[in-house]
Parts: sequence; C-alpha cells; structure tokens
Amino acid sequence: MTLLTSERRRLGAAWRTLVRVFLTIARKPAVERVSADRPLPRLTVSTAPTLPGWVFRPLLGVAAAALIAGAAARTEPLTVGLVSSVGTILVAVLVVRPGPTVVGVLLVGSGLLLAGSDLAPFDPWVLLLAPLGYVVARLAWFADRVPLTARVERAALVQGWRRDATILAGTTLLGALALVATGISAGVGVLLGGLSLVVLVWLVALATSGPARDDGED
Amino acid sequence: MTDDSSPLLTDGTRAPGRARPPEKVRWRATSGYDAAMVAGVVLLGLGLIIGRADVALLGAPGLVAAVLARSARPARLTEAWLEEPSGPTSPGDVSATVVIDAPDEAGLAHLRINAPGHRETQVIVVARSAGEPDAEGEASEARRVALPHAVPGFAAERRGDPGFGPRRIPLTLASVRTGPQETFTVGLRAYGPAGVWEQLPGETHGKRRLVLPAASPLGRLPLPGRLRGLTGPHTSRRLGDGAELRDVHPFAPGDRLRRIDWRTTARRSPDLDTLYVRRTYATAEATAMLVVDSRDDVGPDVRTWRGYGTQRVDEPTSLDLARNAAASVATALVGAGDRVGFQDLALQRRPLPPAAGQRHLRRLLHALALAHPLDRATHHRVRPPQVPADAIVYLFTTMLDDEPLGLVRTWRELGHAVVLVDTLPDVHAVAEPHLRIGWRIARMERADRLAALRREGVPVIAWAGSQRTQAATRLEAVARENERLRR
Repeated sequence: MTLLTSERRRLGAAWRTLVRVFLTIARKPAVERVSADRPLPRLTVSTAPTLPGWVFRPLLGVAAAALIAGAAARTEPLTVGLVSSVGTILVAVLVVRPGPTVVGVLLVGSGLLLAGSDLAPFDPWVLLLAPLGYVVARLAWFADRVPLTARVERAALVQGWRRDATILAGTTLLGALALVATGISAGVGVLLGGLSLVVLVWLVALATSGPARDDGED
Repeated sequence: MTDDSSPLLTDGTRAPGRARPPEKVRWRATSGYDAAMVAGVVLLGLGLIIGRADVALLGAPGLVAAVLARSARPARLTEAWLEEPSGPTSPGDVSATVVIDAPDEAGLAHLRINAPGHRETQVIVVARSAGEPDAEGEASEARRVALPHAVPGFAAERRGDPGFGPRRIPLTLASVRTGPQETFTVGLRAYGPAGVWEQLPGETHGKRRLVLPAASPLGRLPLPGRLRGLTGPHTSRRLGDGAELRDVHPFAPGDRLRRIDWRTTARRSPDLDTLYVRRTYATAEATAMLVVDSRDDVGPDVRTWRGYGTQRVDEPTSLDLARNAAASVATALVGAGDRVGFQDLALQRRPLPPAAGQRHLRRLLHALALAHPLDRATHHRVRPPQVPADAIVYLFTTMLDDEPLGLVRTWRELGHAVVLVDTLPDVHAVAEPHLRIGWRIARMERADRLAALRREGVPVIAWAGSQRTQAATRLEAVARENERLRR
C-alpha cells in the first residue's frame, strides 16, 4: 500500500525537523571554544632528552609477538591458528596489563613452545630468544611503571647496560657451551647443568647474606 | 640511651634510642623479582625434566639478573629536596630545583610534580648525575625537606660517592599570577638495579612564595595640578633655587650676592648704581596616591566570577593587572624622584604614606602583592580614602559597580586630579546563554560609567592585554595635556 502524498509530505517534514534538531545539538558553536576548556598549563621540567611513556606499550607488543612467533616457529605439530590466537591474546593482555606475572606466563609459554622443537636437546634459536625474552621483561617493567602521559629520560633506558650486557653475554656463552655439549655427550650436558645450578645457589646465598643496612630496616 | 646503631644528629651526637623515620619508608623487593625467580626456576626445572637445555636457558637471563639485583640492595634511602631562590620572585619566573641524593645502587627516580593550576607532570630520570660532586653552600635558600625523613635533626650517615653528585632538576611554573602563590609538590619513588628494588613513595612541598608584580616601562606620567615643597625633580612657578631662569631683576634685600649677573649689571648700570640678579624658579615634588580596588579579583572567564570554578594560572586576573599597572606607575614616579603612597580599598587599615626612594618602592611592591579581596566586598559601601592635599590619585579598578564612580567624583570635588586605570581583563566569549546575557548587561553598565567619567574629563587608561601596549602612550598624552593646561 503506498502512502498518500500528504502523508509523505508530513513524514518528510518530520524527518527534516528531526535532522535539524540533531544537527543543532551535535554542532558545537564556535562560542563554546572558550579558553577555560583548554587543558591546564604544564610545568617546565628540565631534563635530558626523553621519550614519551606511551612508546613502551607498542614496543612491548612487537617484542612479545616476536618472542611468541619465534618460539612457535620451532614447533611443527601446532597449528598456526591455535598459536596465533593464543599468542595474540597473551600479547594483548601483556600490552594492556604489563605486569610481571603476565611476563612470566609469556616466558613459560615460550619455553613450552620451544620444547616442541625438533632440534632436541638444544635448539640454537634460543640464543636469540633468550635475549629477546630479557628485552620483553625490561620493556614490560617500563610499560608497567611509566604512565602513558609521563616521560622517561633516554639515559634511564640504558641505565645499568653493563650489567645487562654481562648477563646476556654470559647467557649466550652458556648457550654456546650447551650447544657444543649436545654434540659431545649427555653426561657432559648434565654436568654443565649441575655446575650452573651450583653457581646459582652461590649467588642466592650471596644475596641473602650481608651486613645490616642503614635504611630503616632491621 | 644511645647506641652505635642510632643515627647521627646534625650536632654530632647520637639520637637517644633508635630513631626511626615517622613514615615506614624503606626499600622493598618488587613483584618483578618474584616473577623472574618463579619463571626462571620453572623453565630451569622444565628443561632439566625433559632434557632440554634450550628451555632451561630461556629463563636464565631474567633469573640471573634478579638474583644479582637482589644482592645489590641500596645501602641507604634516596632523598630529595627542593632548593628555592631567596631573592624576590617575578611573575612567570617562579622556579625551584629538585635535588636528588641517591646511593650508588639506586638507578632511577620517578618524580611526580604538581603545582596548583597545572597539569601533573611525571618523569623518570637517572637518579645520579655523573660529574663533579655537588658543592653545598650555593647562594640559594635550600629548603631541605629530606624524603622520606621528617624528623628534625635527623641526619643519616652517608657514604662517600666519589665521581657522582646529586641530580639537580630545574622546575618552572607557567603561572603569570602575582601575590602569594603555592608552588611545587614533588613526590619521589626510587628504583634499584634492574627494577628489583623500589623505595616507597614520599612527598615534599615547596614553600609559599610572594610573587611581586613586575613593572612595565612608562614614560612621562600625569602630575598633580600643584606641586609641593621647595625641592624636587620638577620646576614650579615659585621663586627658588632651581635651575630654570625666571628673570633678571634689580637687587633687592634678601637676594644672594652670588646670584648677581655682572654682565647684565655692566650693560644696564655701568656706574654700578643698580645690581641685577638672576632669579630662578623653585623645584618641587609631586605626590601621587595609588588606590587599588582589590574588592574583586576576576579573570577572563565569566564562569568563575561567582566564585565557582578555578581561575587559570596562565591568565592574569584583574588584580594581577592592577598590581602590574600600579607597580609600573610607582616605579616611574619613584624613578623620577616623586613621592608615592598606596591605599588598598578592600582592607580597612592605614594607607602607606607617600614617600620616595628605592626602599619605599620595595615596600610599595610588597603591599601591592599582598592586596587581596576579603569576601564579597562588592556589596560593601566604600568610604573615599583620605588623600594628601595636592596629590594626584591613580585609581586601579574594574568599574564593575558604582563605588569607584562615587570615589572619583568625591576626589575631584576636593580638588584632586584623578586618573582611572581600567584593569578588567579581556573577557572570553561566553557559551551559556544566561551568562552571556548577564555579561552583556554588566558590560553595558560598565561602558556607561566609563563614558560618564570621560565626559567629566577624567582620563581613562585601559590596561587589558590588548591595550596595554598603548597605555604608556596614552599616559604621556595625558601628561602633556595637563602640562599645557597648567601653563
């Protein structure tokens, strides 16, 4: 049944009125752009060159995705769909809530993916993945501590680089030794692993001993 | 009772018992340490169980870093304090320096800096500065409010940290306001190596500072119709010991011998029957009274006029403009050698009597900075303040009510010259219809008052931002006009 002309005209007028009212409400007149609506002024803080805090989240996402993808690439049986969906969820959670727990879950997950590699007992890709995992942990620390609107000095990012370089070099050396050991015998590999545990225990013992500190603590 | 573990006081003695800071601020291990340990041990165990060295190696860097950092707990707490300059402060120049004194092991410092009317600023910086150790004893008033200790006389022992000094970070406000100002509030959270250790946050506050108004350069200013005294920077119509020649007159009793003009005497009276002397005008000084209408303090945003909302600190209010205008006039007059007094309409107390000199100018600037509205004084009846005879009155007001109109007319009836300085800032466009109508009515009433004063011959000088640059020219024009009428 078609509408009569008069009814069509009334409907058309009603629509036009509705659109006009909507535009009146939605349009922001120029007079509303008053200075009081501007953001408040900022303090001037003189520091060394800085980076904005929001930079860490996308960098963390990229690094975490590379870690997951690198570990998953070594695992043949898993389907691409499963890995990509779980990995995406994990990376997204990490970017939104970059807490140490999520980082730990990511590292353990990467380890589980790496465990499916055919190149047992030592896949040389770990010599890249281990430093990448460390970078993910450091980026997550900054992303967790630095608000999006804050700024970080560039020098603060490389603060303690000697310690980090020593740790990564030591890890790489240990990995190289393990790679060599896999070609020798399983016994040598177990020996190396045992030695590593001894060193670790010694370091922990060092950390829990020492004189009292003058910082208000017993 | 004291013991060797008691902290050392500033006078060298030990505090009784074991003094603890009032807040429980300390270094503590973060959850990052626990997570790194758990992940590292899980991967290590998993690798050993399934015989995969690569899986074990994956968590090794984080595990080793956490263990090493755990053993490097900072030996003392990180302290921070604000160093503020001791001299006078001018608008736009309110600054301070955050000094961070951190131990060797402390890597980073997270600062949260707040100031009234400003956005919060957070910055993460390196806690120690590489270079020359900071030499204490700078020419600045260091207000050391050490974080987190707030116990007077408590001074923690510090180990020598050769090669590195405290980190200094300059801060500056964006405020252009004058008068008493709250400054900075700085919160500090420090982090140890690898982020394993963190120090619980503390806070320090800067002291309240008095921002003196700045003076814009002005040229000649209108002077009163009659000058007073026999000495001063101006030439009067009376006879005296000035520099400007009045006439050459026959010697009369009372004239000084050293004023005899021998050339004129030789020309007019070669026989020296009559001696002629040079007579000069006397010098005099002008007296000006600065009257600041501090009953209201309104900004460019009409929405804040009823006391709701907060005025922005990067926009001057009417009181800031009045202080700036009064400071400019006072500086120009005192610089010319005239006497200047000050009266605050909002405060019912004795005015600052007219005087000259740089010390009096500093008193004037301080009095201007302290002028403030008490309450809704626009409803109060204002009595015309007493003004010294033969003084010119500079009235700094927004003219938002009829009181200044009555004051001006009263002074003029008493014979005082009056210059009105309009200190209402340029008002921003108003969005709300009811405020727009209200402002329109107020603006029209204000325009009627100003027009009435102009008709009565009162010079009106606008000091709002858009017209401030022409104020000096306008004042000079009024001064020339007054001088011409005086002759």
